[in-house]
Amino acid sequence: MEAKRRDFLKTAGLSSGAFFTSPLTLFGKSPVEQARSAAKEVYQVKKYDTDLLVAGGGMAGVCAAISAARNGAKVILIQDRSRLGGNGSSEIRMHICGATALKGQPWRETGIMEELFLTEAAENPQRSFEIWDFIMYDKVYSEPNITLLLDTVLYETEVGGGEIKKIRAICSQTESIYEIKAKYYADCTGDATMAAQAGADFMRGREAKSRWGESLAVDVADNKSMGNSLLFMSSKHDRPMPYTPPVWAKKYSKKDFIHRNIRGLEYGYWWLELGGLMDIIQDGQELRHDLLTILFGVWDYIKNSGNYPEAENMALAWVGMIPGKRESRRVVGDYIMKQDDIQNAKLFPDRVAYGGWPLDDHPPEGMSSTDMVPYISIPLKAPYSIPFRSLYSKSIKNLLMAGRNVSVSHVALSSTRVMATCATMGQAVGTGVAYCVNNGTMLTQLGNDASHLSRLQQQLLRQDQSMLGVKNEDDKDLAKKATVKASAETKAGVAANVLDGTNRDIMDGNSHQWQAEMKGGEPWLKISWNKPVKISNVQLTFDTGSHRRLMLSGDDGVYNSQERGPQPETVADYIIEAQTKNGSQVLAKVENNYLRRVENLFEPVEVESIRIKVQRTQGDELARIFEVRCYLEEVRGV
Amino acid sequence: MLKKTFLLISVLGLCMALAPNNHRVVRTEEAFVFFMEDSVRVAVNLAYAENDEPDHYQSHVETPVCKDSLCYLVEIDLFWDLLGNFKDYRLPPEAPLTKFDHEKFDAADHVKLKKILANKTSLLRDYDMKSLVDNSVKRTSAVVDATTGATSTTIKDEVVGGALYTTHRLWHIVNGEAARKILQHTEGFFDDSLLVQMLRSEDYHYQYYALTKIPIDATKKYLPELMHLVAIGDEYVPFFAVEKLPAHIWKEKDYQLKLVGMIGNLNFEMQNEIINRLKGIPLTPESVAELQNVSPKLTDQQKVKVKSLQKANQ
Repeated sequence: MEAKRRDFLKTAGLSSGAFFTSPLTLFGKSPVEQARSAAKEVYQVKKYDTDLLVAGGGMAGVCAAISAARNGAKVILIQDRSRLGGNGSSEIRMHICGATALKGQPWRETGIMEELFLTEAAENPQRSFEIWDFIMYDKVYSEPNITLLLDTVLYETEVGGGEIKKIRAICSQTESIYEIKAKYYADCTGDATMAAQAGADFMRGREAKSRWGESLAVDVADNKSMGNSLLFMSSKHDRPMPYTPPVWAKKYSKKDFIHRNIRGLEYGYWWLELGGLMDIIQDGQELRHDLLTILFGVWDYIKNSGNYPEAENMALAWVGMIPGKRESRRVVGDYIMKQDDIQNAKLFPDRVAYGGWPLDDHPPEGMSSTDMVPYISIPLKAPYSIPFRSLYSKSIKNLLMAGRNVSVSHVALSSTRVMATCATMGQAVGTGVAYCVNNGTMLTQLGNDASHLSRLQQQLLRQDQSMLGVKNEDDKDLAKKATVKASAETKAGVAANVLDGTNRDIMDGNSHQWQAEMKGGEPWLKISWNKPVKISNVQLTFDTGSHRRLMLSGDDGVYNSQERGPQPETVADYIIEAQTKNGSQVLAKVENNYLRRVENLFEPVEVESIRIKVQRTQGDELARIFEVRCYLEEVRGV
Repeated sequence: MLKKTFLLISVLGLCMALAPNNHRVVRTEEAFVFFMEDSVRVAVNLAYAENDEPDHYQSHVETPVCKDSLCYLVEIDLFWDLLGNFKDYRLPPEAPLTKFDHEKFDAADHVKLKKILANKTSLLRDYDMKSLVDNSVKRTSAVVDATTGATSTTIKDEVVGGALYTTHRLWHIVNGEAARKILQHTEGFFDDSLLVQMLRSEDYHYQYYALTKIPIDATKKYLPELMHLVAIGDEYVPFFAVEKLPAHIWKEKDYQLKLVGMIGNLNFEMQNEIINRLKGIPLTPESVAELQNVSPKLTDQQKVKVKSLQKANQ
């Protein structure tokens, strides 16, 4: 079977942009077939006009939709499943990796990703993947600017004059055809389905070393890719749980696991991987079954080889049916990221996001060659920046990308593909679209113009996007014109740090945060102006321990080594009081905060000073605040 | 033991007489020559031990190790096995390895360097020199009028402190083209006698490599070696050796009895491997009795499986 698929790939050609009769079949009958036959009589056509259409509700799509909506754009988010989160959802259950792979460094992703991480840690003590789905659902549903269309499959993209005019999508459960026109389209499908339909230039397979001088690339270009993985979960019972595999399960022995570590038994293994030698999109049906033969074969080995006596009372509790994908199409942008950009952490002028996962390539053979090492992972020294020019299409004017289908080489993808990194791209793309909508800017103009970019970067930074080497230079931030005093401070955390323009630890020897002992009572910060200013928003950035990993995981080792619940460094209870000409006034009183960035909104008021009094932390002995910003205009809270 | 041997060798100045594995070297011949990117010539010799068996590769290398104006000559004898795995190095007493500011390597530095050189997948493989230096931190030399970037903190475990350039340079000499060419060269003269030599060696690299070289239809020829490796092979070798046993021997009285008899002395996972493979095979009364003998050495779960084997063969 595999040989046949390889032959098929050979004839398919590389990156031609051409595809075959029905390139977009997901499972079963193709959506376009369904649409054509059903639409005539039964299906209703519903038309939408919007600013941004986001196709794909994985981490990238969710963050793109939320960020665009929060910045004022009207958004339609279509997702082909009933649940959000993609590879991170309860349907696939891969835990969300990212820059915390840089051990001992403080680079956990901030922004919307962090908001989701922190909310999950605080509100999902039951460690439920389904609840995690609903945390994402709640965030998306709570944005009035987002129309969420679940179970909705993109099947047609209409192009004219070098841009997408409209797309069509189908929802069989509601017998609806959606015809959606948008100013901008964000392809967050992972497979770059929308870009392929639009005829955008894309790459596929593995580029040769000679193409871009990447030492980690293959010698000769091919059509192979990293494989897909199926995960499982198991639970322990109070009695032996015998296991008989299906007859079609593969047989394994110890020799198959010399390069593959069976560490815990409660959560499956990323190396249950296959498909890099096939057409990873079109051969999806066969591939899923092949993965199941492997999954049940490995579980049979665990249960019945005798090598895992501790597996006696364990039984499968959940088996994934949607393989998690690592790689397929990559859309060509104004810039293609390469190995050197990542390994040497190039600081792009148009940086809008960052990553920090190793250059972690998987040989396409996966479990079909258990004698091979299943990955080659090159750790990075530092996080690297991601340019905006890699997040929009070079050939289709109003098409952006976020997630694993962005403009990167195969080697670069081995790092950028992980979900927290995809999420930061999503926030960049959503915010970029809102910027374009609000300013009438073209994507390529935004990507190549320093003054536009600087404004976009400031907007992203204000919203706590994961950024490198960008300081707060926001003219609208009235705190920049203020002075600061504190009831107490530590040597490493002087009060002036909250106005120094840096909102996190950046490993430069400065904490960039105000710190004060909690045991002295309720420490406070006072921000004062020479002459009264009118404000309506005090934005605070707290410390949430960004050097730690924080994600829902089925892996006991990964999960139990985390600090779960609200992160101890976070300021939990605080009061913001204003000194006005009419005396003092409470602007905000917050209890049990667990977020990193909080906007405190109130009716505009003219103040001489404000005082932020910390009443309780989530456990830390120090009150810690990275940044205080003050604004007059109204910005929706998060 | 090995360390004592080295000491003795350097004292007597008999560097070439004994190989790092303690084998006596009877002769050497030039295997190949190659040039590093900066034109440094490296000649690699194949050394033969007694019985004229190819034993290892070695090379006397002289290479400058430089960064800006901080530079010195490294003179070193390198040793590889027949597959291109680094085994050891020796230094002439008058030219020790040095670190930043010419400080000599101490014993711990040598242990660390040897460990790094033996790691074929070290991240030194995938980082060029410029990427390894953290130029934001400068160190000034008291000896030479120069400064150099410090080692980036994230890779400091992968290099000998203060000797980044030496470590990087030596790793690439040891594990770069030389290692590839050594394997190629060995494959050029690989024959049945070397195959048997490797199967009988005590080095699991050799054992595993030789196992992969046994043709599928010729496993019978190497049965004594295969049985030996099943019984005492290192690391994961027994799991591959058992795979190579021809199917029919599981049913042959003598071999079956030998395999069953091994169970008591095997490690836990290999015990399971044999027990699992006996399932569905008709066992002789002798084998059934032998199972009873090894049973006390087994866990309760293994005993359940053994009982079911015995029951099936009553």
